[in-house]
Amino acid sequence: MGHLLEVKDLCLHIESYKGMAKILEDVNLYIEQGEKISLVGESGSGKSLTAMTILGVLPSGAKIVKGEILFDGQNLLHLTQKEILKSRIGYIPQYPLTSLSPSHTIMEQMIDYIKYAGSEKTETSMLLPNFLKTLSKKQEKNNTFAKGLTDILLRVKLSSPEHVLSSYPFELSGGMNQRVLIATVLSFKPRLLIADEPTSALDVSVAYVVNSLLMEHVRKSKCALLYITHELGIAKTVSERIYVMYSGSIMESGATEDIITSPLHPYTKGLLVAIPKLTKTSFKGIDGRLPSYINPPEGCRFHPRCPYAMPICKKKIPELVEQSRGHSVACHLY
Amino acid sequence: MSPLLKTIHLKKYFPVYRGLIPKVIGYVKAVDDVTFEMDKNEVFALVGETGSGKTTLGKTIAGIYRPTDGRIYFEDVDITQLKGEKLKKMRVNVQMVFQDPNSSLNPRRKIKSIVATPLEVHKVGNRTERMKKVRELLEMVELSPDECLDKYPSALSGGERQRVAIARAIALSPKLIVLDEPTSSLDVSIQAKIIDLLKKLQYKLNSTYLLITHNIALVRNFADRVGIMYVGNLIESTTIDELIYKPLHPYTKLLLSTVPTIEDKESDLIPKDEGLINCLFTTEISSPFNPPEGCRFHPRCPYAMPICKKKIPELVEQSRGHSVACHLY
Repeated sequence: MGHLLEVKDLCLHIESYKGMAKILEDVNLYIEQGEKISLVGESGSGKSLTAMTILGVLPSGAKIVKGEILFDGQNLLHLTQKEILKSRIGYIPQYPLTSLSPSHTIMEQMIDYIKYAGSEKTETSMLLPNFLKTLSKKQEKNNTFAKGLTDILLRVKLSSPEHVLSSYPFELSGGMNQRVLIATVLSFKPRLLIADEPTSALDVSVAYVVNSLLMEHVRKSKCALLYITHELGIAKTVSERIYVMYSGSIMESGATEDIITSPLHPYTKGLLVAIPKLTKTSFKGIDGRLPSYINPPEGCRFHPRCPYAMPICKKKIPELVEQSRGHSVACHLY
Repeated sequence: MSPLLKTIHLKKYFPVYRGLIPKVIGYVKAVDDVTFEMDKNEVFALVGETGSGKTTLGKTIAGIYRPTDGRIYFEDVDITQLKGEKLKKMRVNVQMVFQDPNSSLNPRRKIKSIVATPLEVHKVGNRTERMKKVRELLEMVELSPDECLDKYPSALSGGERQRVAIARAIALSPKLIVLDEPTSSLDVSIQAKIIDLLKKLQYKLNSTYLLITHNIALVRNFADRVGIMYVGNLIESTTIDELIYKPLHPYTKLLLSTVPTIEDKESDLIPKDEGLINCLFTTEISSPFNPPEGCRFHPRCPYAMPICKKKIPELVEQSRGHSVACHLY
């Protein structure tokens, strides 16, 4: 007990015309109250689907075969989407431009979000009664509302919030849109924030800004963070613990420092070596490609690419075993 | 020795139309007054953010766009003036690898036909010779010809598709290859493999690369010299070591300070300038449609002086091979 979120033995299959794709295989993870963790993996490793399962927004054809997701002791798999949103889980998507409606202004969309997800304890919902009172007087309504929204936007250091409120998403840059989303989501004081590669569509310097703002607010509001990324460099700066995911399974988990300085799993080691570094130390890639989900290899899913593969790796799926305090790895080598 | 490629005051403007009867209301100055040189067998990297004009510059050099003004000399021949047959012959020398292999390879054609296209266009050999060459090319990019020849791009993974795109680019043994973000749509484990391949090919084919990217850590491991671009201007150009250890332009310092790092040794290399980083939070990148007067970086620059608002700084050599366009120097 005590974990804010706990994903237990989660198995997810998706029906496709080629057959059943076995996407997630026994995913286990937990987040403590106020803890910042990141889920690292390459494209197609199932990290976004893990987040989508938690949020209850799975694509059609997806089936949860096994497992449970406990948020504060409550199984999220039994709740509706709206109930999940009300339980104060925030979400920041990868592409801000495609997740905002192009035909509504930022202000309309912020109001929409607040109306839909507002629960009693949050400050934005305090705006709602005011909003309803002045429904008849449209101008006045906009003014009261705009004031509150402006304050929210100012917190992410947007220089002209009034201008942003009356703009459409395509009139703003990617970084500004992402800042609007962060501000809106955080105005709810979520207890858990899921950020799905919030900066991968942005330039390096803009990503830096968005990440620093995000982290500043997460720290201030003491909410827990599940940060999904493919960049270990970013994971290092944002999180306290890292989960490394490959082909739908957690391969390694541990404190950020341990994962970066003393990785155990051959895949984690390979990933770290593959990143080009400013110090010009040699970097090289991992042979092979991600296996198919429809016919995944028997045993460990990494074994076809693994330089240390042993006969047992082809037969038995390794379990996630704790090696030292808080540092677990799913590999037959240990 | 004369340089392989030289651009002089190169400009590429895109007109912007407005109204029912379209009328030019202004220009997007994608590349504005860029002068630089590339030597034989070097890897020159163009680094900049989205909208800095690096891709436009690459495409203009590859002959995909015609420049609005300025000259491009390739082996002392002004290629901006070439037409017809001569232009076609020149294009053998400059080839390009595009950012996204999903959209640069025709999904309805087989790999063998994609790789053979440049050979057909330039009438190299007969059919059987061309097929033999295609097999050789696929082997050079470390793909198995027997498996790939009859596949469509959709049957390959992202890394394999980029290899096909590279095979097509080297088909005519060009002297210069423009690599437009060749790895930005790939995963890191694949990226390293592709860079490795490109290094090997450069050694084997004696070619010169113009690498367009936003990843400084990648440039550090691959390029010899770097040019930094900001809103259409080349603002600093130097060797890669100088760039890391002695960056001059405030924007270059800013770019370096936002690179995500893994090792502690790396973070030591990063300049820490609070003033510069703070300006990132409050300002946005200038638009190339309506760039500010004077230096284009001045609205974001904490060191801006009155002159920066009036006069565009010129690219001036500070020390051997290290030029910067900034009024501070």
